[in-house]
Amino acid sequence: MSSTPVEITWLLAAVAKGDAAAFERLYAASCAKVYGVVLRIVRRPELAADVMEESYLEILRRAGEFDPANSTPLAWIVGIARSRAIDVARQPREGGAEPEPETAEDEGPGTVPRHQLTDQLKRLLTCIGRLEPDRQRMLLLAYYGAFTRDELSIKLDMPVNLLRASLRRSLLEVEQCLGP
Amino acid sequence: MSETGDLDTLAAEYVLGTLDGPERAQAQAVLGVDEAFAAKVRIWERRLGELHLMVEPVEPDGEIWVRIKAKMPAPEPSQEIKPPEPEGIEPKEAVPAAEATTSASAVVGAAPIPSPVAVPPTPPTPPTPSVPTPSAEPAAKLPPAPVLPVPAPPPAVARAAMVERERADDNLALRRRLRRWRLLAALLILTLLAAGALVAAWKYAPERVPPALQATELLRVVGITVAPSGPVRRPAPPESQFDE
Repeated sequence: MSSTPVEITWLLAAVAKGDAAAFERLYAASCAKVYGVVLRIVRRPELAADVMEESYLEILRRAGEFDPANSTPLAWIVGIARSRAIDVARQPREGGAEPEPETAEDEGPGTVPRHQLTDQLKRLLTCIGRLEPDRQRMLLLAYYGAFTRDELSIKLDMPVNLLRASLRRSLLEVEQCLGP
Repeated sequence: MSETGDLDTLAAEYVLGTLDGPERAQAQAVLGVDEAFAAKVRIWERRLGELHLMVEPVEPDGEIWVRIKAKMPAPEPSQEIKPPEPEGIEPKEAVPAAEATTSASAVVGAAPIPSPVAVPPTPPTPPTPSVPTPSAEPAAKLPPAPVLPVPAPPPAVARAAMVERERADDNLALRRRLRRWRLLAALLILTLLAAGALVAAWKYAPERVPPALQATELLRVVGITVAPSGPVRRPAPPESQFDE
């Protein structure tokens, strides 16, 4: 990623003031990351394109809401797109249970260039790393694929009630580990 | 688990993305009316938000930008009265004026990212060996948490209105913050000037400085006693300094 958080924050502020050129730069600076996240969730490029369009129009409308005290600008942008992607993924498909173009990518990526490794991500990964390996995998799979508990229980071959309890326990432990 | 804990789990699962369609719709309904729940969601978004850094970027089709651009609302004149951009977050270089005046609706259907000043698309991140593999130390086994039903949320009302209000509040808060910082800066400058004047007075016109503002007196006030010159046993008038 060539743009720094400061640059993206500034672009968001300019977009909030109605600067169309800044919006174009914001898109150029963030679209590959956002598309990567969205595509993992909705899996089909035509759906991902719809999500991208809706997400960036929402980002355009809400740019003024970004608060640097709450998150990094890219996390804020990705958060909006990810939420839209999950909404789309939860919509019932006409055509029923068509096979998704699924790959071994399910595991979640797991690599990050060292210079992008923020303190916050380090802390989070340390806390997730304290869970048992199965639960680490469950949590990362849940985040990157945004699978429902039913889908996760099939993927992880685990009864759904057990998975639900395990998921909640894991989230609780991560929360306690991270602190307030 | 208490209801609070239950709402917390709901917020966490909402952000994580493991709720199914109806559960997600419920959570979104609660989100619109329950500020405490919305705050929990924001906390979980902050907690998990950085995980995106581990996602490999994928360059989208250029057609997507063309579609977005075509649907961008035309710039309105009312944008002039928007609050000023916070100075604290401006980067070093400013956008060239020509770029800022580029009309949003000018180039519909143009090539993707046509502006010559556009930031080049981010290259795919090269795979680097720096995998932050979480240390896999097994955690102590906890008894399984009880499975709790998702609470029935209050009806979803006024969500849009709330978003609007939050937006206005945000702008207001930004302006207030800006004012606070300006005030603080002004105060700091004044303090600095006063301190400078005092130091100058000590140096060039010590006799004019009131006794309460003498350097030694000030030091004494903060608890440091300074002997005027060496170990003096009795207070000596200025003209008697060579007596001993």
